[in-house]
Amino acid sequence: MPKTVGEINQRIRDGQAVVVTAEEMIDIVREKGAEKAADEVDVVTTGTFGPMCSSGAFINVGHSKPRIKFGGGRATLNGVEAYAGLAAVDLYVGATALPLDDPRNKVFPGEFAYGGGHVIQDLVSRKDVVLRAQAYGTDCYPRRELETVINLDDINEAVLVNPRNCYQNYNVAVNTSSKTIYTYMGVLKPDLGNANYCSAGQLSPLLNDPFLRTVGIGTRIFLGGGVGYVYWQGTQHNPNVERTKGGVPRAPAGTLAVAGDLKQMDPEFLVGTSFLGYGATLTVGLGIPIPVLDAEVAQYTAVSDCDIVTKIVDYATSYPQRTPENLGEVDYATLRSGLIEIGGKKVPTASLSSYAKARKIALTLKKWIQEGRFLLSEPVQPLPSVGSNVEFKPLRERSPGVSRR
Amino acid sequence: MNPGTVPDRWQGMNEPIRTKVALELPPYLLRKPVLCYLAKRCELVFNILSANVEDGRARFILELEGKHSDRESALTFLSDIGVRVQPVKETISMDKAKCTECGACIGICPANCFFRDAETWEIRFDDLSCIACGECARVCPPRAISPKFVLAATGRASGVSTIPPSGGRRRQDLGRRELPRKQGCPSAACERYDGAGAPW
Repeated sequence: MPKTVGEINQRIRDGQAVVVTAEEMIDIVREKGAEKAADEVDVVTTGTFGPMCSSGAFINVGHSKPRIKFGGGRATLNGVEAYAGLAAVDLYVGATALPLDDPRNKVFPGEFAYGGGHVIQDLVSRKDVVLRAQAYGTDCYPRRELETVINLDDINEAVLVNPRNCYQNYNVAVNTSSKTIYTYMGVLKPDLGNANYCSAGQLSPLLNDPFLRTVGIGTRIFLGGGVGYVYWQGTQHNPNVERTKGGVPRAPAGTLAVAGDLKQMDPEFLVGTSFLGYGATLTVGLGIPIPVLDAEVAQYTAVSDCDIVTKIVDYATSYPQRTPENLGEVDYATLRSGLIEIGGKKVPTASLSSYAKARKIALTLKKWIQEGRFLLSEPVQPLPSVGSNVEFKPLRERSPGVSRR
Repeated sequence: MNPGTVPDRWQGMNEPIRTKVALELPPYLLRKPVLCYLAKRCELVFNILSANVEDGRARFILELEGKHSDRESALTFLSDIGVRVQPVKETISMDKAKCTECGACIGICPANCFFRDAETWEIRFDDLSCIACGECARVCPPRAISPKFVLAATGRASGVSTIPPSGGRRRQDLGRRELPRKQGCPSAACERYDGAGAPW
């Protein structure tokens, strides 16, 4: 019998809700069938932990005496450039921002040992962070320079805001060229020397809700060790991709835009990371509880690694040149076995997303719900799904004055 | 050589053990083919895991293979000519608190030292096959791996041979061009080299 989110929340409050992880749900549905599983299980928890470059944090550091207005000037946090084009003492630090004097890739491959993601991790770890700012000075904001240390506990707001993360499926990256390449998918050895993938597969949130039936604007989630919310579809959200019979996208598809109070997050689940030759970023832990409303939702949450396929993409040519070809498809069970075959060659695989942490996130969320500390929320508005007019457009470059057609 | 395989001539003799040692050559040995003599005099097989010259000293990390007695004599020989020898306890150090359990190290390691625990999916590291190339440390996104060749505090680390206290003389006692002694070579391998070829 179909359930509502309200009914499930009442069961959570009563301490009677049956909560399982997406991994545990696979066997439950296999043994009992989707109908019976939907009757018995109230919530399925998911998790993912991977590098998410479109991450950042808005902070308000409080007003200095005399006052300063960062907007139109410049600000750095531990030397890393923060976006200051906001009101007086608001800043946005993006995960991929770098110190002004970082050599980048001038000595290739660059190390990118410290960037915006590391600043965010330091803030969450309650480490003091050096804020430096230059401003042009106004009558109301006369100060032109500021150098101080700040700490997460002392500043006003700190909100993690990620315009795109939690990708529904992702490419497998390989390198067919004859030299090593350094990518956001890790270091790829020449001549198909290795293959890197980046999804928690059967534990991944949006792969357990392929048509976004339960996840929408306002959905309460596990974010960075604390509680966060989905505030929009993520940038590059692309639901209209080719799908398997079970409805699972065969290529990168849906994405989420999420936000949450940084002050209640945990540095274990927000880790500044460095990709050799590519850049700095933030590795984010995210988990979504899926209310098992009916048998259809139960069936979706029972998706297993062998049901999920993705494309193998050459990051030496196809990806950088944005050409459409790929080197075939592979399922996550094979990827996780450690070896895949591409054109007759056995290629070792590795994941950039951590399955161990994804599992920990799903289990943590399960515990929160079982203890009644975390209630589910009904979306205020659904996200665009299959059939919507959302289109993932490339950039068509043109000169000023040239017609759009 | 395939790890684990032992040439016939070592069978039944002293237990052959593979060990990693760090050598530090003083400036006066910089131009000497010290490692060649390890092979020629002491019949040792070794793999050079790393070699560099810094502050006027040459440093090698070697993985030695051989029977126990040959290795003992080699270590005595090295000690005699003034090479500082220390067993290597660890080739890399992994900070599990920093590790995010991704798999960047698994894909890049040329010696396949990293693998996943089938139950927990956490990363495990096999020190034995490590060739100390440091690739894992370069690619580790949270920088949880340090390519440190952690030297044992004393020579008596487990599974690592030690320099005999009496057989070897301290470096300070050695003259700059004094010939190494043949003493202490249990296999008498160095009898075949009368020292004429040794240029120091």
